[in-house]
Amino acid sequence: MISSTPSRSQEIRSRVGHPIIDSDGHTLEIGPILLDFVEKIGGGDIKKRYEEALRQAWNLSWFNMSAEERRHEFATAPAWWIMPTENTLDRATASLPRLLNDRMDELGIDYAVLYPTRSLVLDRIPDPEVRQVGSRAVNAYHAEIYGSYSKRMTTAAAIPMHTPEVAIEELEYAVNELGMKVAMIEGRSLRPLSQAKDAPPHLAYLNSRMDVIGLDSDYDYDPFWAKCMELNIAPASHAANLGWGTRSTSNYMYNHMATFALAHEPVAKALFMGGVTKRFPELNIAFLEGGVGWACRLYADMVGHWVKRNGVDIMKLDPKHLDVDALMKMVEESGEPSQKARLKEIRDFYLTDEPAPEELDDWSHVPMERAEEMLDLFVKPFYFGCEADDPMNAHAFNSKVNPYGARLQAVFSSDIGHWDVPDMREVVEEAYELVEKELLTDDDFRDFTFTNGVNLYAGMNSDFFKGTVVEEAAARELGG
Amino acid sequence: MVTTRPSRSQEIRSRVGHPIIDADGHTLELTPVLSDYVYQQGGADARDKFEEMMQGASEAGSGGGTTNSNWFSMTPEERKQNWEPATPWWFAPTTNVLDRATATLPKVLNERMDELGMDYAVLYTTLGLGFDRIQGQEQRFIVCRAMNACVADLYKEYSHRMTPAAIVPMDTPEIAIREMEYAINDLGLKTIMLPGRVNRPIPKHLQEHPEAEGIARYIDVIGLDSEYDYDPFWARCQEMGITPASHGSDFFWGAVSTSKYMFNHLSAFAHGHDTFAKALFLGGVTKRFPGLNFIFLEGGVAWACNLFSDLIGHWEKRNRNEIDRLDPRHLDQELILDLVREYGEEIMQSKIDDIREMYATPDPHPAELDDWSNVPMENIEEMMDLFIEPYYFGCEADDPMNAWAFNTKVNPMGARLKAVFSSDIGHWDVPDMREVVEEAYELVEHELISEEDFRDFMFTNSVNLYGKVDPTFFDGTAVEAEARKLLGR
Repeated sequence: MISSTPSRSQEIRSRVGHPIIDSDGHTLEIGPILLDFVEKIGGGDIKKRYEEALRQAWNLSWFNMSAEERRHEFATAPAWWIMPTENTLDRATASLPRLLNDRMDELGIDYAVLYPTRSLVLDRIPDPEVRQVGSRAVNAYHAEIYGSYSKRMTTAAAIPMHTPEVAIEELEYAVNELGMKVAMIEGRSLRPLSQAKDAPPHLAYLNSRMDVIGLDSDYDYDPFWAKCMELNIAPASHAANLGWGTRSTSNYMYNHMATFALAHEPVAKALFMGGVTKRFPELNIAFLEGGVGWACRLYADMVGHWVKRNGVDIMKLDPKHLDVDALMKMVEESGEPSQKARLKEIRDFYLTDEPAPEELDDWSHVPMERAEEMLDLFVKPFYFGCEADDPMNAHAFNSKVNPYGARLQAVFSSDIGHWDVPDMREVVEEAYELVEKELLTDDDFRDFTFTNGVNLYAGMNSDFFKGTVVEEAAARELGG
Repeated sequence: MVTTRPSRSQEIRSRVGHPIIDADGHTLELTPVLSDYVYQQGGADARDKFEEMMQGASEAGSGGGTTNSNWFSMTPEERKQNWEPATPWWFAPTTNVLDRATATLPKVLNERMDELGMDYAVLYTTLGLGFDRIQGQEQRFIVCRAMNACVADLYKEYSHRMTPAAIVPMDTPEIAIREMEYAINDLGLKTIMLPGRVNRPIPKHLQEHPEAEGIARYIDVIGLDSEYDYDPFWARCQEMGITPASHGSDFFWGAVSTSKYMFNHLSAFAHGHDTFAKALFLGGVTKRFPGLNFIFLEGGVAWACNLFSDLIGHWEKRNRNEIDRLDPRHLDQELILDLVREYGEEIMQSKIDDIREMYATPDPHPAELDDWSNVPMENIEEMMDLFIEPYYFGCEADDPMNAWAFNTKVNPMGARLKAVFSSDIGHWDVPDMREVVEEAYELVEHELISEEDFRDFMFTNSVNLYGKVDPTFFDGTAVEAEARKLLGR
């Protein structure tokens, strides 16, 4: 099945002279086998509940509704036809680790970190028991099926994040019992709104709020981040915004576009503003499949906001500083007739105290002396999974535009296994087009496809690449 | 009040040799004056309700003012329990009294325009940014009309240098048309601001559980899947030569913080615009109304570069022809089972019959396979006409990401997105109005954009934005001659 003539990706891999690490390929879980794991771990009743919960999480009832019905109940257009079909070899490759292993050279990829597909929605399952069993099952499935191919690939464990205790329990199980070394988190969690507690159960999903975990959470997740540090795990957020915020009832593409970016942005913002990156300076966190454009924008935006509204500069806006007499003099001199007709009321208006929160520093959880500290608190710990065909990847490396000459840590993420990869053999080739079009230098490409991937994982776990085909190159990169 | 020494912005304005148009400055309204207009429009009851709302003392306070006063009186726990987003606070200049006055007194702004280095400004409300959310339809319309009448009166005399935008509530197309016509025809305003989305109850849940009306709601992004057909509104905009400006944000939906205003402000406009621009495009509005321009304000342009690139990537791989490639019928059942037998793990071999059944079960799909059916395109280059041509993006001076708009090397098909200078004067992020043009020019000084890009950013794009839809837009203004030249009149 494997083509005997080298692919262009393979040629590029040979030419660049450094390994290529794929930080986000996808497996396509084989349903009947995964279900066996669910049953083994949770029993027959859980298996039934899991199947139904998964149907709901993927919103399959949408397909049976008319357009009017969808609009009537605001049913979100779900994902459909998301896997390769015409390219049957690629479809099989995403499910059969031995086949992927045999094709890795052809794809031009040395090592891959793989994420699930069917189980990407586990965090949307409202039943905590089913959610936890579902996570454990897919982790056991991946550990067993992919375990023999650890030289070329590893699979990420799905970690349910609804409470820190459960997240820690599953992380420990995945790492200590199953031997996994990557954790996938959603980075946020839906919580029921207190004012909706008496609402009918089927409205529960609508009547919920998005807890972005890092800030204003019902729970303290610091023990989870501490556990990640202890276990040397760099958590990777693979959240999607499908079904949340504004969404289309008719159009999957509308819902898919920017879905990962929209999901990651508040999570990253919350981790930063909630002080997680300050309290856990060595913790690396990846945001997958959303590209890096959103992060460049957020970084610049945060610098702009902090510079003008940090804990010191906020005092410039204190209403106490308003010189009402001087202001009223100007109103009297230069006001329009309708303004001059209300001088007394306008004075009262200016004298009325403007409310403010008890904490005036919105950055209180992440105290900084200078905006440049964001290089350590945002640029250094965050990594961004970028697909090969996205020209916006170039902005990560544009140190002229990014404040303080930052280079954001984009990591190559193939997305193999999904609809947007028509041919797995062309992904590295497509990524290299950024160099051919002079959007990236060869050094940037090396960082994108190798160095940043090494730093993301081995930066926390120096043994991460031990026993893999990139062990030596990674050790050299790390100066070992 | 105006300083005698030229500001650096003024010097830059002289040096660049082209006018500078501010596409988004802000007015700071005086509640007592606005109250009088509410009274004129709706009587004493409407005025009382309005004043209560502005004091945050009534239920409407949580839905209409720029600041939600209720939030301040809650404990952190209550905010969390009710998921009450941290509201804007201290958003107007105070230490800089002259700037505070300038945003309220048109005469002062008019006198200071040269000092600010600006020739002409389009101004947007501050208090009224939340008026589309005022509870109670009648009160909402009264207050919006009052605001429009108020700014029309206040700024009329200064039309040579500035124009205020009208608020147009978008509840239904009929209402939007009615209010736009009133603002333009009766009040003499010439530009409009709309929220770009309407918060509506979910019909099914409203019917079955009216008690859940307040929480079971959705965001109608107007351009796509709306229960109303807004085409008559877009058509009316075109007829009247009006360019709609979206100043909507996702401040009150999505993932919000209950404690930090900055969390909610960061990206709020970009997210709001992203959903609206995407809906207008995918809903086919820009296809059906070529020549109609839209501007998305205060969110910068980086989100649009991302969206443009993302639209292309998605269309190329999932347009009406390519989608066939993913049709489950094309899966070679025999081949995949052969591969499972040859490469499958032991655990798979024992389940081969189940696996066969899994692959033979067709994946569901919608009746319409083309997600781009409202905006049929033969080739990707058509997006230049359907996205790049009609869209303009209000960008603040201090945002280095503005450079992305002009980066034809990175933007697909060498596109230059139409960034327009938007000062945001009047708000907290402008510590000194005299420094805004200076700050914008730093993009040139830092070699992020060329002088030619700067001209487009500060002048050409704004002229095209308004002047292409209404060639007389700048007649009688300080930039008339230059605008005429540019528009070939």
